[in-house]
Amino acid sequence: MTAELRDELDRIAAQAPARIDACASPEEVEALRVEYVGTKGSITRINKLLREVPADQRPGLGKRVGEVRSLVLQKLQEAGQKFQVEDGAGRQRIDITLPGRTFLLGRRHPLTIALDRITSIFSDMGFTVADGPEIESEYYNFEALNMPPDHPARDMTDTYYVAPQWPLRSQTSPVQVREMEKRRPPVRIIVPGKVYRNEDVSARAMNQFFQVEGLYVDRNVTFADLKGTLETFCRRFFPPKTRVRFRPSYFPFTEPSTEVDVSCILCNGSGCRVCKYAGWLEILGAGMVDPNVFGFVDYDPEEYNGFAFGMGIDRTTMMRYGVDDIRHFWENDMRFLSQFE
Amino acid sequence: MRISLDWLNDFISTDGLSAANIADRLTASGIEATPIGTLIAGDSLVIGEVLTCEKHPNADRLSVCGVTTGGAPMTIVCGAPNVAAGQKVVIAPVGTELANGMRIKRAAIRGVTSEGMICAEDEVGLGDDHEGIIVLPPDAPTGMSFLKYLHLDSERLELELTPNRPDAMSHRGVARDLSALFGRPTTNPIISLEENGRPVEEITSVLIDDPEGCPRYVARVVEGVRIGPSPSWLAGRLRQVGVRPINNVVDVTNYVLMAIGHPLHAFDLHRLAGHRIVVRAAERDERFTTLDGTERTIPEGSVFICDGERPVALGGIMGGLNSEITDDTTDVLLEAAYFTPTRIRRTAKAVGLQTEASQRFERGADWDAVIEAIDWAAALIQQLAGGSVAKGRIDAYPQTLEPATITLRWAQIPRVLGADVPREESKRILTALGIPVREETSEGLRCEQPSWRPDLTRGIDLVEEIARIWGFDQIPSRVGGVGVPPEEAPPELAIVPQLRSWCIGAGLQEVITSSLVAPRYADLFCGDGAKVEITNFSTSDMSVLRTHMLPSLLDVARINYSRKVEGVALFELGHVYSRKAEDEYNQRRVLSILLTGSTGQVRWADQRREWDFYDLSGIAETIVQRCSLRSPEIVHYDGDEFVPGNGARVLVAGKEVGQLGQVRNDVCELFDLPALAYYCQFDVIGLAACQATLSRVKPLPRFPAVERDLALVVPESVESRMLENTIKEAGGALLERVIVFDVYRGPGVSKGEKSVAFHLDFRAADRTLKDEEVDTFMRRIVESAQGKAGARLRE
Repeated sequence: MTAELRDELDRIAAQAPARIDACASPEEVEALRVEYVGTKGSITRINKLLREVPADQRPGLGKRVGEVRSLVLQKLQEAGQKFQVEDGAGRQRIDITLPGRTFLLGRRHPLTIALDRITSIFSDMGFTVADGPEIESEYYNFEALNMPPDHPARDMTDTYYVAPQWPLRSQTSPVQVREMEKRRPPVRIIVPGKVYRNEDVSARAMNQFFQVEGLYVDRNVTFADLKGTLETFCRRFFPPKTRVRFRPSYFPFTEPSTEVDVSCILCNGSGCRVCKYAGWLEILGAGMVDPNVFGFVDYDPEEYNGFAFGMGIDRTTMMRYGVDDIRHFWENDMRFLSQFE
Repeated sequence: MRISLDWLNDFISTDGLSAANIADRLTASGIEATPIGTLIAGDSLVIGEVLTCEKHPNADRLSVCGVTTGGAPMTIVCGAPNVAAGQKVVIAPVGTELANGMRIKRAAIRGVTSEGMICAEDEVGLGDDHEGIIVLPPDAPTGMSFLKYLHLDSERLELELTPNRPDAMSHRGVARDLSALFGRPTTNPIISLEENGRPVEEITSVLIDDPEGCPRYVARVVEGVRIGPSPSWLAGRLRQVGVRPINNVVDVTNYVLMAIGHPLHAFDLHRLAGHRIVVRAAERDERFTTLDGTERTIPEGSVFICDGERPVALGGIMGGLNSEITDDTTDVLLEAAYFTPTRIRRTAKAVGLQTEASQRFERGADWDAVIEAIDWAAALIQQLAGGSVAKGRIDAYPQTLEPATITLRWAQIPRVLGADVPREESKRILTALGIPVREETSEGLRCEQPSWRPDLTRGIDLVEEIARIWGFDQIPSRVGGVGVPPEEAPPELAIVPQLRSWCIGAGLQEVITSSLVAPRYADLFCGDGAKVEITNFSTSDMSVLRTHMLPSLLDVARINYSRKVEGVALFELGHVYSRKAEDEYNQRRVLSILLTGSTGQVRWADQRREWDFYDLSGIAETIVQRCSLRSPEIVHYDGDEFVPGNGARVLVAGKEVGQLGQVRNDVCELFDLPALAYYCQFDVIGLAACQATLSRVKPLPRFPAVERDLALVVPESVESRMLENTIKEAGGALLERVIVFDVYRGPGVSKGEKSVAFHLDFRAADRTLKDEEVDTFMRRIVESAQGKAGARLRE
């Protein structure tokens, strides 16, 4: 008997929704309600028959009855709703403008969105993701990057320390050295990660932020490759009309060094508050790996050449979306986060 | 740093170049420059003469003045107490915009029409003084522009210099770059010095006891000077670049500094004991009062300039109060020295002093410029303050500083740049920058390092000089010159985007929180080891690296609740940190999930309900399942984080990969959470390690399954997993699937017991199972459940 009842339930479950949907009037819906769940309805009848089912099968079947009953009731309720709307020609229709059931889909954090995009653009160009420790030794954070003790470039950042000789990395560049130590060229890596600066937290500054570091070392890598790679990146990451400019600069671990500016993404270069009326936004630093750095990892600078770059993403993301306070990224107010994607 | 175009003109002609032209070229060659206009606004400010000055007929404190600026007299109403006929004053005619933004209009003041304003210092932006109007000397030419009169009419540039370019911290230094950029020659200052005094050796002596810290010390003496204010051309130039004029002698040292970049110091000779200079390293805990009036403890090893008895200056950083030039000074000892950069840097950092001098010395000053600097300063002092310059200079130079010889191979240029700069152009650039080419061969160049370029010692450094002047935009872009297949990212990194996408699929919002937390958060739960503290933190709320993710996520919930966003479902992929041993730190990547409050869905067809344990364990099970292609084992765990009895470990093949449970109520209270919270964390490396990929698909079943339901009544203490395992064991190889579909307590089941209902699928791969076979399996299952769990069939 169980099998028959189960079959019947399955049949009801299969047919009822379509039949109910096909109803053209509230009267038809009511008729189906009686047929299925009225005092003498088919589901009601099966429910009564449960008592006669063997004990070991009763719970399973009972559960199934409940399921089918809910399904039918749900459909009947919806069908009832749809007759509240009637078109001009007297035809009845469902209210398709009622919002659908909430589909719970989460979201990435805006900084992740930026990191993912950057990583994916460089992955397309053949870079592999690498990673390194945030509690870093002075050797990797400074010395092997051509910043011996007392080097003035150490003043370019204010660094947190957890012990003498142990800074929280102030840049993702130490990973360059660690990766080069691990392998021989070619090396082509991208390093998204958190870095720290000893700064007071304010609307414009946070004491930690995300950087993406890149390194490409091989035979015959030149400044022309650096330009080509970073131009390609900028054209894909920023709006299509963006212009890119390379401006000589200084970093202890690259020579020659360059800042890369893009035409302001808000005013397109005509000058606005965000670009401080310069028309340009400074977005990344780059350069050819200094031969001294190769010395620390035992690469022959006569044989290999390479370029490295690094960019902070927090400020760029702020500009991109007009975020006026960097702390929004770290507070995680759902009303802020839910605006992305 | 600021420079003025007018001053720049002393070293290179800027004819035909606008401030914007110059700024653009400098920026494109490595010195970020922005035009910032003149020091004070007000092109139309003009020098006038007060012809008549009478009391205002309707106001006691106002005067009505008849004023001329060279043309017809005009009437100005003035409120200053010090205005008088015959004065030379500063007139702001109608239409002038003042420093404070006020625009001068023709206006009737108590019935008298005023056609302008006579200005006080603050009104023109020169100072704060508002006591009275500026009264100029009688020889100030009526009708002359006030800015021109004060030598404040020059356009200026703000420079942002990188730390490798101390040489560019002066007008001449910038002129050198401009020379290479625009192909114009530079000129040097013309120094006309008359050594009309007695031999310097008769007056003073210099002894260097610390040649490592001070390789070179040059001194000159000027006797019989008259200290007074500097002439306006000098004061004006200093003001324009942000240096406050003090007196003629000090101003001259600053003038030479800003002009050619070498820091100088002037001592009052009579305040130097023994009229002599001794340079030595500071000993421990010496105290010294610098001329800003602050007494400081000087770090051991600092360079001290001393007289016969005591320190008189903190070498390369700041002079001492005990020997500074005063209004009564008559005899001046001038110092031009070269200090070793690291020594100055260490001291400046330790005492927290950044001065014009220290910034240059710690980056590397020009060791050959000392002679030119001191001669020029002596000549200017003589010219402006009178006195006689002692014959000769003392040049203590115990350690000769040698320039590096730099070899540049032609092949290096295209090898680094990917573009070949014409050789003639390369040579031109180097020469224009003042880098002498000593030898040229077919291989390349042998050059000498200029004494003002500490950053140039290697061939690559010259490649950079050539590239930045030649122009980065002349270097082509190459794309596609790469082609090495990338290596795979390590599994613990490769899994991160996957974990993220699964969490998002589960409806969770990603958050990113600070890794630096307050100590009270770090102490809440046990971490992996000792907590890691920042030693130089500025705010104690962020002074420890987090040991656990839970407080960070609870804090996000707290912030959201406090803003009436009730109920969150979130995750973070972040690190926790610990100290394993001295000099051994660990960071561990953790996937953490927090559910608290209600689902928050309120649309008509939704069912709003509170998150519970099984929402979380469902997500956790799915993540593990997706990752390892098997179901995790969930076992009891009495962790600190969880309500006792409501915590669990998540195991995969016996290895713990995570924990989950209901967060302790007292912890929730710490974060003001009004609702229950559920937390789960996974060790990302652990998940990566149990990753599995499908090796071979199972064939789809060809025969139907036989389905059976089974309701077992068991004591409350028996857990479903145990029953499930018992069923699986007893069910045999053909038991394909076991699902718990109901747990029931209530009528029909006695107190202390519950009924757990299972749905079972039996299937054979090669035939349709007969009911009798399945009955046998079912009997075996029931017997086993009775035996092992005290279960009985629910009637």
